[in-house]
Amino acid sequence: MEAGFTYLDQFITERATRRCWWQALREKFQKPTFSSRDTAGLCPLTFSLCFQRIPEGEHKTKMVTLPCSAISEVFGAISSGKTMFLHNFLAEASARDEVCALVDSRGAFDPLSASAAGVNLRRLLWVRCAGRLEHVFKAADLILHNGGFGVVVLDLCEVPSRDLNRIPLSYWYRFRLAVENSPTRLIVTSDQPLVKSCARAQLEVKRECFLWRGPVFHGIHFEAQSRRQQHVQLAG
Amino acid sequence: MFACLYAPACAQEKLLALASSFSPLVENTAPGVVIFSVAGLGKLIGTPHQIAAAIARAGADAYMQANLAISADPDTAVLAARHFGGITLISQGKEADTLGGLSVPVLGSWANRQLIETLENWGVRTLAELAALPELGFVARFGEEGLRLLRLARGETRRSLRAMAAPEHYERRMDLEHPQKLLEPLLFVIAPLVNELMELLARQGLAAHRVTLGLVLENKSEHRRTLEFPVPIHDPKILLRQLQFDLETHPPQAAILAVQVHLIPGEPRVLQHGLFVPQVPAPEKLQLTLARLTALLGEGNVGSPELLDTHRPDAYVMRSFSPETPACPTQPGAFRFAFRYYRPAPAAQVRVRAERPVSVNAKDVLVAAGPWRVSGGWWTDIPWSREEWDVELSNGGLYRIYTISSRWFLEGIYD
Repeated sequence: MEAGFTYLDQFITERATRRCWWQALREKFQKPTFSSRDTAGLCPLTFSLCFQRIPEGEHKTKMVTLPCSAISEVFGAISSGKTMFLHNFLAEASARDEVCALVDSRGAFDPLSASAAGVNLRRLLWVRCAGRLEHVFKAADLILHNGGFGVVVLDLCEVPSRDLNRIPLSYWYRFRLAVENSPTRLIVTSDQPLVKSCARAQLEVKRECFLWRGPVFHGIHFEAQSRRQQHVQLAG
Repeated sequence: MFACLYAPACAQEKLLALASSFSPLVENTAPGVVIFSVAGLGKLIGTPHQIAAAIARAGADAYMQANLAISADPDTAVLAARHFGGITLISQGKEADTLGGLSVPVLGSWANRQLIETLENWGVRTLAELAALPELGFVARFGEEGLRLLRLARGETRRSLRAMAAPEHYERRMDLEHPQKLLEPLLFVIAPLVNELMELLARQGLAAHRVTLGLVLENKSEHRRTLEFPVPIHDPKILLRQLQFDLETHPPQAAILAVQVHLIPGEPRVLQHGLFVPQVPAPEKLQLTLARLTALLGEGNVGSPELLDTHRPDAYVMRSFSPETPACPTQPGAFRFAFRYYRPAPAAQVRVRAERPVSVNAKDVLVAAGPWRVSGGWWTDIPWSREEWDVELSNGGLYRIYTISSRWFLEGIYD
């Protein structure tokens, strides 16, 4: 009995310590930022999804996953690094043998840079919609209702704002219902926030700087800021 | 009643064809030996003598030389056909008498050599002598094999034929009374044909691997569409939907006079998923979704990209998407950026000063890197050559522009 109590005490203490650590972390970083610079100096693409800077002055990596069975939104200005972020997310998913789908509103996807980021193109369904927004949503709806996809990306980048603002909110509600009982992550990427309350996680990607090595363009440093911290999971 | 044809010098296909012309129940017993049932031919042809004569005539017409035996027991018919020349008719109950004169070694193909030698050592020379042996004692000494041998000698095996499955052509055709122009009524014609064929396949434990739909048109031409599935389909509804989407995408050019559906069967997929393997789309459902997407967006816009082995920019082909294909592990490369293409590349208005771009589409260039001269394919019919620049513009974007014979294009944006 005594040994059992000791073990229980120890367990409770561990849980309490862990909770304190989480609370301290949340208090410290009310809006955590994920920077491509945090991995190792100037190597922006060798991270896993994205990383969080934990204590002041110390760079410690933490993997952040976007929530399953929900809509996540990634937005940012042009050349902010959001496509690079998505390629890395797709690479992580395909490394887990998940089947991914990309509904590309403008047909702008570059298979070469995606493959270089580690995306397994054989397990990626690429749907090109040639700029027709109604086709984008029909295609996304068909894919979500088919089920079985680990990640579905809805790429609405470079779609004019006047068209984006006309998207009825009911579309997002329908998509939220479609994914809520499945392991699918629906990621909506655009130049501006769109999904509003239907998104469980919102990440804003901001460019820090372009990297030049002499005259050669080398990469983009970006920072992803979570708008809704409580839904971003720290996984290790 | 069973008939056995024995023709060691004749092609097996010819023997089978001759047997199949008299009965659907045909056993391909051994090379040169075919047994078939003649049980129902009494009413059609007549007595066993007439049946034997009819078979002999058909064999002669096909230039075949064979022995024929007809008996109530299939193995007796085989023994008689093998060892009696010409036509042998054995009436029921006379099997042992007919076979009695044959020597015991003729049973060599049914029993092992040691057993035959033992019988010879016992002084049992003919089948009649073997048939006369007491069954109980014989079985006590030789077991099941001995019993089988004894029944062969007595002409009492009475086994069933191992009937050969007839080669099935999964094809149905329907001629329409009036030319049909609309797709929806046409589906009501196609549906029963597909249902019937899929039921046939299901009975044999098969699924549809490929379907060909042939439409005979009013202008005397034929509209033929073939759909091949990565995973065989066993649900007729899914097959019908696939045909519907395909016909919507590729409609016939004239009214339809006749419909023909042809299925190529395949083994159905049997797959055991692991507990910890991530979920993948159900293949049949996925095929339907891909067909819907193709009908919505057009051919070539749905699939999985495959990179081509070339340095030509934006070189890829769209392959059909199938997550079942074995995944090749990809390692992250040295790229530290992602690119977004403008397809097709729009023309750009570029102002150049001192051979460097200073503005693109009225936006100032902050940083310009280049020119990067790239070329290739000069040994082919479609050579390519151009100069590329990476330019950071005042709107905050980093673009790739290129020039071909003094014309500038905006290829895409780094993101």
